[in-house]
Amino acid sequence: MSQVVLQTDSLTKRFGDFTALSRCDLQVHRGEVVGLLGPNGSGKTTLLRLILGFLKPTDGSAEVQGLNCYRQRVQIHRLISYLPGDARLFRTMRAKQVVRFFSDIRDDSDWGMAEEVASRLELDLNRWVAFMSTGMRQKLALTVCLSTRAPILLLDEPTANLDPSVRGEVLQLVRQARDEGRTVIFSSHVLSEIEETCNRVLILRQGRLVHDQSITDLKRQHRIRARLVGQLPDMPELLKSEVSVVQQDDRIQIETPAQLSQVMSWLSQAPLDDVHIQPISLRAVYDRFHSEWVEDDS
Amino acid sequence: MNQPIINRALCRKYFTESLLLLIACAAALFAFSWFRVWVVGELDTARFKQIVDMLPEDWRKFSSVDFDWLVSYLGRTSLTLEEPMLLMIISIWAIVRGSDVVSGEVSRGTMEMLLAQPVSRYRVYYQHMLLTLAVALGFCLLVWMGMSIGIMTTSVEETTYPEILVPLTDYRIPLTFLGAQTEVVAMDSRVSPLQFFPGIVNLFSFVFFMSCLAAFCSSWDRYRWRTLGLVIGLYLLNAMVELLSLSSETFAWLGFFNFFGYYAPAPAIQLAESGPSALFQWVVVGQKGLDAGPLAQNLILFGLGLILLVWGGYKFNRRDLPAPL
Repeated sequence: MSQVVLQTDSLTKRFGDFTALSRCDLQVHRGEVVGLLGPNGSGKTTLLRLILGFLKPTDGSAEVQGLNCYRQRVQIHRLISYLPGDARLFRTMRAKQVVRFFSDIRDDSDWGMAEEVASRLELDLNRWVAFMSTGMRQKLALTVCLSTRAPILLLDEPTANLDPSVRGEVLQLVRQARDEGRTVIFSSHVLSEIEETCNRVLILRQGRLVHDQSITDLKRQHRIRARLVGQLPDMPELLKSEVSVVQQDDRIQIETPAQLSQVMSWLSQAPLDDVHIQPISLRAVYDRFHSEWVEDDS
Repeated sequence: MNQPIINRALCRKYFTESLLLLIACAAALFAFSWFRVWVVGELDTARFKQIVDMLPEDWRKFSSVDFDWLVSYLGRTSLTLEEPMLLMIISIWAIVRGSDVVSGEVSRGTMEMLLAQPVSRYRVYYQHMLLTLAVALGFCLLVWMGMSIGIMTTSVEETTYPEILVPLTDYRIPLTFLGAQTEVVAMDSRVSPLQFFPGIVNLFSFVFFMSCLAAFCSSWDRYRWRTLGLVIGLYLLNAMVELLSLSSETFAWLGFFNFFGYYAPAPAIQLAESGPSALFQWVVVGQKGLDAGPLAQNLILFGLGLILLVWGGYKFNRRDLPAPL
């Protein structure tokens, strides 16, 4: 296993009576692209802000490459490039001055890289920030964030407010960062982006980390729906730990991360009718935690 | 990694952000100081004394200096430093820039990106304050320069009478029956710009305190409008308390419990006439009894300001950074 770059232990943040993040245990390895999913208020941004040392943990700790995120935040900021969810920049400057300011303040910024990113995102660097639309400000913040050589990128909803072509370009830049061996953690509400770009997904719900899965495992998963017209034969021992079966009246739903052939060999003996087999999408996994009842996602 | 004390990028940013206000305040302070000295030159001392003598006795208590000294050129020019207009302009700088340090950046939502860079909160806080205080010092020197240029370029008309010297004595007797003579003299032959130095030091200690108070309030807050409201409220409250302490002997003790009570440039200038050593007095006996001396006044303003500055920095370093709204 490659080096752990980020580790949280029982990381908790409470604001008065409200628990924004509860006992979050997490490890991120070098070169991973981790997607953070969850509805608004689920704790994604709080987790990112705790990693950056903006917030003092109520309990637990977070470390980046062995450095404490709260006590050693300045050292940590040398390793991280961050894009806030609602990026606001200095309105009294032109885009070029903003990029210059951030490249002056960091050692690892590169003006040439910034120009390249700005051009890929179709950003006019001569424009005043005060006269920029929300999307343009997002592009400028992305230019600032992606023009560093920081080994870790924390991106809070990087594609928000962007048009589809620029969205694609941003995801391409994220993949490029991954290919360079950098670690990326990004939150998004767009499941397909996570599925396409990340190699691991974390789902948060009401401040709790409720699901942690690699995208490879996710893509191996299948769901089988059928009508049961008799008795289901006993499940082989090999499958018991991996296969989940939910029966409601005569309808049966089976989910498996295991090899489909093994499950099919077991089900070939079952009295099934109207059988549907489909790969489980991220949407289905997400809905498992954020919907009242799982319904068709096909 | 050791970083230089002055971060040029941050300095440039703060300077750019405050440039318009800086130019406006600098122009206003310089012009006002010069103009105020010119106005002094326009009014003959003898005539001014007549006006002052007509004022009700009760009004004397609102003056920080004795009326007899007030009618002199030095006294009247010293009052430039106590003009509400001058105090207002320099306080605008202190309050506006001081309040911007934390809650300004937080409420604009720009603190998030700024603090995500490898720069400590202390550096952000103190760098901002360093520039604010350096400019405030520049403003005080500009006031001094404006007054000095005013003194050097203004001529005053003085009404005199022919005199005869009483033999074997130093007494001179004005011969008023011969009629008044008007004489034009350069103001710098009556006052020297150096005499205002104690007042300028007191002005800087006041603006230092105001800037630090605003920065302290800013370090606790997330809304700049609230910080501004709070500091302006405190400013007005202190001004009222000072007025109350001056208007009634019963409340004279309140003079020790408001920051305007420690801002007294004209008495410091008056004291300095008797020699620079007078400026190093902790207490003085003034018109209303025992009062804080120039040294105590300046040290109290600088000391309290420094405490608020350090406390504000500590608070900012420890607090959670609120998400932009």
